[in-house]
Amino acid sequence: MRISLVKCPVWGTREPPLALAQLSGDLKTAGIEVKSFDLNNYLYKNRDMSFTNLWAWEQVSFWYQKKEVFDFFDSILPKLESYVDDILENDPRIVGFSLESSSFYATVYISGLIKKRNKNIKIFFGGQFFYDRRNIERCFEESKVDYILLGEGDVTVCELVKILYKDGDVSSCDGICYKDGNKIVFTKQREMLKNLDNLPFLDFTDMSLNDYDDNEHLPLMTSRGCVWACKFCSTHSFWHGYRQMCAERIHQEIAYHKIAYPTAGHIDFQDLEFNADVNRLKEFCRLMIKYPPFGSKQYWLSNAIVNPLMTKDVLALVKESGCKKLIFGIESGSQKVLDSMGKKYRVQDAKRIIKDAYDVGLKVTTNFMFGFPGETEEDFNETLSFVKEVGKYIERVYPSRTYFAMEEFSYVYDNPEEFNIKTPFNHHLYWQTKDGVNTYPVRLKRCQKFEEVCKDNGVNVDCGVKTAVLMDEYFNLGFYYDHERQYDRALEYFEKYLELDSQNEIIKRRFNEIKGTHHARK
Amino acid sequence: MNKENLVEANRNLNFLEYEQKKVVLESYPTSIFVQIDAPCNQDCLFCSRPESYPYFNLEEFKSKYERKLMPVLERVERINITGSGELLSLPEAKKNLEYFNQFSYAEKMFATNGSTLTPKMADSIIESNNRYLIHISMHSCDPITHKIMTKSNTYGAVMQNVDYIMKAKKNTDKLRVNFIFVATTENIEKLPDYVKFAAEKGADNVVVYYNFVYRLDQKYLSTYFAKDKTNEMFDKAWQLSKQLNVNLQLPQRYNQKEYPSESMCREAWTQLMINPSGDIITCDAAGDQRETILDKETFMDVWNGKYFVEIRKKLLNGNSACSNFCIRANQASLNKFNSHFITRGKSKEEIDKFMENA
Repeated sequence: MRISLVKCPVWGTREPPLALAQLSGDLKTAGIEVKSFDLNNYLYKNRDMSFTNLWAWEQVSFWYQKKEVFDFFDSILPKLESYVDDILENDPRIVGFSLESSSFYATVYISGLIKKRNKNIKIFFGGQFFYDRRNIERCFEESKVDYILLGEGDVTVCELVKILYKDGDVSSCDGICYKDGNKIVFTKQREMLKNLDNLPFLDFTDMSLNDYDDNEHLPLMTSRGCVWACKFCSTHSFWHGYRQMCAERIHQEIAYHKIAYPTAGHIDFQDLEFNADVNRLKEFCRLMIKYPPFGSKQYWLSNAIVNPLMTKDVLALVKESGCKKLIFGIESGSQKVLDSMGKKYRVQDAKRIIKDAYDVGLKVTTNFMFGFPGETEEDFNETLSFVKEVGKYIERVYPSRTYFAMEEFSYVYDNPEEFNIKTPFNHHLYWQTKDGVNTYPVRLKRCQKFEEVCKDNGVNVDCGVKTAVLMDEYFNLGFYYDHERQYDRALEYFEKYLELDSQNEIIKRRFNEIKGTHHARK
Repeated sequence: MNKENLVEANRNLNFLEYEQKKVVLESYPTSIFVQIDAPCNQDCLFCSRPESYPYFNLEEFKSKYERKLMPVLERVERINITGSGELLSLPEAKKNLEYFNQFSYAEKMFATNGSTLTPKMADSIIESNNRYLIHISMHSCDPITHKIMTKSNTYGAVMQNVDYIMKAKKNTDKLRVNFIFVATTENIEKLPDYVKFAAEKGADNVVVYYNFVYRLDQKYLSTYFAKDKTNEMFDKAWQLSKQLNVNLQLPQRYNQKEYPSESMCREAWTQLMINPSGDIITCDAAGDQRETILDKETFMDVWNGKYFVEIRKKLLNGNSACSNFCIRANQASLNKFNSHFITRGKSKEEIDKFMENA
């Protein structure tokens, strides 16, 4: 039984895609030969100047446009054809793609190339993207996909491959859908895994950590879901609750990967939070102290929630176990806004934990958002007061460069009326409230003000973009005014952008289109 | 009867039945190999991979086989937990070992490349207070040869772990550690150094095996094609082991004038191997024949089923094919190349290819 797994752009290039690494581990555990292909990273590494910023997350909108993606891929077709040769080299009967909205069109294109080569190869897609039934329908309409995996793929993918190699009757495979004539058939919903400890270790065999931007760290994921259900986040919709591995299992996986990558410098937990269960955290820390996989140079970092059980003693233990940094999603300094977001913590607790962490020698990064629906200037000022008060204990603040983006499948996204958001909104960045008070430029201004205050108070601010803050501002304001059909202003910002990045193919194209059509009309 | 007595009674009966040349047995085997396939973080030159096997799943083992195998597990002297890959690299490795620890009267044996035998794992084995025999397969003690043999960067981790466990074992009499050396044309000259290394670390035994050739591209590795060099290194290692007081277990040398007379294999009486799909065979060198326990009601239906009874009869009559090529049963057979490669699953044409120029 042979299968190839593929990741198409756009996705992060800091580390191998964990979805592929996990599925690869799952498949090998089931005795299935698997080869993983990170096309995203391959194209990123081999990109030319005109597309140099395509992988900057703040310019991700390129990948959402079919024409742009298809034109780009047409222009590099020989490169892609040769990559497809590699995918098919081992003669897999099945090729699977892990995708999300940002890789949809790229996946459609590449899976199409594969089908063109051999129409008998079965193609499947899987990912959080298919939480929405509309995306399933869209996939069957626009691509050559044979099966879509729904929910967690760990067990489903193994079952599907075994069935396809046996008799091909997939109706007994839970957790998939497929086309039967014009009808989409959904098999029985697959139950979520009860025990994450039974998951195989991540398998990086075909995606060496050394090939990625940050080859110093080992990325690990030790939980699924979140104990909270913040209204701006989609995690809760997809994962329904929270499951975690035990401390011992985590420690064992670290030791395992450290052998394969002796030069890796630190562990980077990708969990939404690593401290949901403080008892697990303490047990993990004790294991790391007693049996340090990294020896005397222990170093790990993770996201964390403001959990009141994070006492100074716990933080000291965390520090002793080699943790260098905790990253907290503070988001706002206003209790009213936090309550409205569904963040279940008290501002006072956040302040106390940040100070205690500083006292024991831990570095703290804090994330902030601007313009959550309902946030007033007074509320925003409370955020400013927050950084003025505890900024000295924070190693770095990270202001969100999308300020507040509408995340698909989040509570806010699904209930815009409740948040007084103008509907129908058709842009996750450029949305506004019905009263016109909360708009993209307003949110941008708040972010700029926040940065100013941080700098005035000696707080280190992360620029938060891969390109440059100014480039990001011009890029987005250009597209915002384009979106608002204020073309003169759009051109003004695109021009400013091109002064900084004259080769950018996307901006050049749009700039010329507007000039050609709008100015001609004038 | 308590558990220890049950083991002893079975051993005595098993011995008697073998001596009496019985083919249908009342006794159970005295050792069991449970095949635990797992991922591997090395890619040894001589390994059978890239054959793909499903990895071991304890829950599945319990639900499918535990009831039928319980009478065996209650009577065996040794449980060999082994298979393809590195069993300690399974996420459930500790849980798996703990499961077998419940049969505390039996010695547990497993093989590891050493890289995953972390201090934490070593402590957990020692703290279990069970008797363990660990085979650490390093095949060389110098970093370059180790890297060539294992195609990995695990040398540092292996050495750290070996240091730890060899120190820790001084505080217990329940742990034995053997250093394993699979002799190939790539590492045979390093054998004397390996014996020195074992002496320094305090290994219980150094055990040397000839490698088996699984694929044609591995043919060059066979010491069959370097007989004189192999004999020479065996001699050097042997002398050194006497000087350093190391227990060295060598296979027979090539082209000796005499070999021990062919012995009748006991394994069809004393042991069984079970793989994850429920297939049961006598030993890893056995041919394609096997019997599955899945469709049998009890273990004795397999143990005294057609497959095992036939093998015992053939061995008793001296017409078992095994003794033609099995180095363990017929040590003189090592001078024939077909004793050095695995025929299981191969067609006649493939076997002929293996035999070319041999």
